[in-house]
Amino acid sequence: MTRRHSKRARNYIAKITEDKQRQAKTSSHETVERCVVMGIVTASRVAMACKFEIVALSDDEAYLSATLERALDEVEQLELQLSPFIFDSHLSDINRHAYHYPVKVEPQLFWLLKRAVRIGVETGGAFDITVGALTLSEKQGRACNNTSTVLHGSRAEGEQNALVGLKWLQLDDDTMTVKFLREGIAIDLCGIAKGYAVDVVASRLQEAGVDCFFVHGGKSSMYAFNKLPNADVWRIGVTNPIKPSERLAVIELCSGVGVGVSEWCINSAKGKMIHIVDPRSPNRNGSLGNAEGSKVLRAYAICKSATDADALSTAFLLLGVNGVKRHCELHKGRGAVLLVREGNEVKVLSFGLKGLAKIYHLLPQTKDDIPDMAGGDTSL
Amino acid sequence: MTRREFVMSSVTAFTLSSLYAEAQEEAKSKEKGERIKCGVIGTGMHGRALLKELMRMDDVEVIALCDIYQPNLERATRALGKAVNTYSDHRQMLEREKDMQAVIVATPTATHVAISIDALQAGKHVYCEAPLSNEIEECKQMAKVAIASQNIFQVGHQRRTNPLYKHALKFIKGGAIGQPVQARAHYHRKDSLRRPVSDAKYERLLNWRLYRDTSGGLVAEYGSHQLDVINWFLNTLPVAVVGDGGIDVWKDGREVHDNIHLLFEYPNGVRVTYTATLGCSYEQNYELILGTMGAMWFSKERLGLWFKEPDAPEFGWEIYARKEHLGDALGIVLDPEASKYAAQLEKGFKPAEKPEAETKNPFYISLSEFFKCIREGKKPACGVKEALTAAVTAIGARMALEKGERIRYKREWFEV
Repeated sequence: MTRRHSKRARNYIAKITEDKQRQAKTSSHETVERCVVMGIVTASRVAMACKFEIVALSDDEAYLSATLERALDEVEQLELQLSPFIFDSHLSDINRHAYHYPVKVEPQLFWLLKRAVRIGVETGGAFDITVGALTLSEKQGRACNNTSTVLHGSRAEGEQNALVGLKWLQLDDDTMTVKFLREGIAIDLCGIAKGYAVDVVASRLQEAGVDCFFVHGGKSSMYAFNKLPNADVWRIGVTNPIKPSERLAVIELCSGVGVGVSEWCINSAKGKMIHIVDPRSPNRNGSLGNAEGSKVLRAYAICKSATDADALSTAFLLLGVNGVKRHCELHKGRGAVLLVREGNEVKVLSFGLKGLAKIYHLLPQTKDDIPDMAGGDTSL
Repeated sequence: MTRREFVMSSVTAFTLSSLYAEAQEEAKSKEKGERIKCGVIGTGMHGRALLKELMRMDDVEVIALCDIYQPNLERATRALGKAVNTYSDHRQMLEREKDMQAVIVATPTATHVAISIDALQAGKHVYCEAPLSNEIEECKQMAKVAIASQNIFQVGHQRRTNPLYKHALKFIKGGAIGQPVQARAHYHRKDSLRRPVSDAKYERLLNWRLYRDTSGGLVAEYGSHQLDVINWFLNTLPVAVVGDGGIDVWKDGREVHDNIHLLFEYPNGVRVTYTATLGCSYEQNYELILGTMGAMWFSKERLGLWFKEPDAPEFGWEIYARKEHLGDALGIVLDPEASKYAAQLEKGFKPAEKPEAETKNPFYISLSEFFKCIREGKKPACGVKEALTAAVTAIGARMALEKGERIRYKREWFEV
C-alpha cells in the first residue's frame, strides 16, 4: 500500500527539514530524512518477518505508487523462494534434498548462493550460509527475527559444529545445481536475504526510472539512491545500543550505497548476548565465541550492494575491530561503522567510508530533541 | 576389529553408498527421459514466476519467450540467464519453433483462448493460466478444440494438483465433515493491482486487470481459483448467485470492482459466500467448507486445518496428529505427507527421501503435473472441463455484480 503525504504533511516536512539543516545534521537512528516539497510517496509491506519500506520522490505520483507496489511484490516472491520457514520454498527444497542429489536452482538464486560463498571466503568464514544446521533447527516453526538467531539445537553441540563449513557445499556452474557433501548440512540465508531483496527492489525502481529513493528491509538492510533535489543526502542515525534514546552519530550516504546492520541482542533477563552464531567456532547457550568480536555491539557494513552489506554486517560483528579494519583495507569499496563497548561507554569507529558515506559524531542527545521525519523513527 | 576388517568394512560401506547413489541417479535419469522443450507466452510478473519454476526442472528446457511488451521480455530473458529466441507475436513463435513441444500461456485473460487454440492447432501441448476466459462462448469454443486435440491442455487452477487439497478431498468424500452446509472463500489484499505505465498507450495493455473489456474482475482473476475448489469439493455446480460490489477503494479510473461480496446457492441448500477486497489484507486468502460434522479451512494453499464437531466420529489417529489453533478453535493439521511418510519410514526410507514433488510449491507441482501428462499421455487433473466450470461460475458472479440482480446459472452454460 502506498501513502501519499498530504500538503500539510509535506509543508511540515519541509519546515522541519530546514530546522534540521540548521541543527548541524542530526537524525534519529535509521530515520529516513526527507527534505523536499514534491511527490513523496511511501510504500510498505510485511515480508520476510519484517516491514519493507520505500520512500521515493517523483513528479508523477500515480506512476510512482504503482511502481513501489510492484517493486514490493518482488519481496513477497523472494520470501516464498528464500524462506527456510516455508516448507515448499526453493531453499527448503535444497535443504531437504541436496545431500541426496544435486538440486537444480534458478539462475538468480544460484548467483545469490555463489555471492554468499564468496563473502564467506572473504571474511574467513565469519559469514557462512551453511550455519543452517545450527540455526534452523531452532528457528523452524517460529517467526524469524532479524538475522541468524541461534539458541539450541537437537543434536549434540560437537556434532552440529561439524556440520558447518563451505567445504560441504558444492555449487556446479554448468548444471546450476547445489549439492551437499555431508548429511545434515543446511543453508540459512537469513543473514543475506533481506539485503538481496532490498537490492532487487532497488533495481526494479531504477529500471522504472525512479530517480530518488530510499528502501529498507526491517531496518537492518538499506539502500539509498541519488541525492534529493535540493542536493541534500539520505542519512541514517546511529543510536546507542545500550541507551537507545541517545544518538551517537549520523551517517550520510552517497548515492547507490547499501547498508547492512547487525547487532547482538542483549537478553537482559540472563545478562547474556545472543543473536548471532560464530560459524568459525559455534558457541551456543548465549555466550560469545569471539573475545574480540564481543566488544563490537553493533556493526554497519556499507558498500555498493545491500546484499553484500547485509552479509558483511554479520561478519563484521564477529571479526572484531582489527579484523574489520583489515577487511576494509583489503577490500576497497567496503566500509564499516562499529559501535564498540569501552567500559560503560560506547565508542563509534569507522573504516573505509571514502566514496560511500560520511559520518558525523554527535554529542549525546535524546531522541526527543529531534522531530521525526517522513519515514518516522526506525530505531532498532 | 583388525585393520584389515576395518579397511574391508570401509570399502564395503563406500561401495554400497556409491552403488546406492548411482542407482538413485540412474532411476532419476530413467524417469526423466528427454527434456521437454517449452516456450513461455506472456512474461509479466506471473509469467516470470512460472519461469522461475521451469528453470528448476531438470527435464524441461525453455527455448523461447514471447511478449508484446518489450520490457517484460527483457526481464524474463535476464531471469532466464541465457539467450533464447524471443518473439513479440505468438503466432510467429509457434510457426518458427518447430522443436518446441509445449507452451505456457500466462497472458491477460482475454487472450487465453485465442492463443491456446493457436498453440493446440500448431501441435503444441498447452498449459494455460486461469481463468480460461471471461466469456461463456469462448470457454465452450476452447473446450471443443481442447477435447478434439490429441495434445495436453491443462489450466493453471493449481489447487487441483496441490497435495493438500487432494488429501482433504479424500477426507471430505469419506464423510469427515458430514453433510456440507456452507462454504466461504476470501481474497483480501491491500493493493491497487496497478502496473506502472510510463506511456499512456500501454495503460490498457499493462493494466488489463482494471478494465471491463479485458478482465472479469476480482471474482474471475482470483475467485475462479477459489470457487473452483468449492465446486470440486462439493462435487456440484452453483444454481444461482447474487452479489454487490463497487469501486470503493481505488478511484483511479478503473472499471472493475475493487470490493465485492457474493452469495451463491448450490444444490441441497449449500450456501457459499465469496468476498474479495483490495482495501484490506486481513485474513488474506482462504477457503472454508462447513459441514454437519466439522469444517475444513485452507489458507494460502499451504495450510489446511480440520475442525471436528464434538459428535463427529473418532478415527483414532487424529489424537496423535499435529494440531494448530485458529482463534479459539483447535484444528487438526491436514498433512498430505503424513501417511505416506509413515509408510515410507516403515519400509526403511529416510525422511529426506519423501516424494520430491510433494515438497515443491504449488506452481512447480502444477507445472510438473503438466509435463508428466505429456510424457505419460495422462489426462490432466485440471483439464478444460474443470476450467470451464470454474470460469463459468465466475462469469455468472460477474453478471450478478454488474446487473445487481440474482443470476440463475443455466445448465447449458457448463456443457460443451
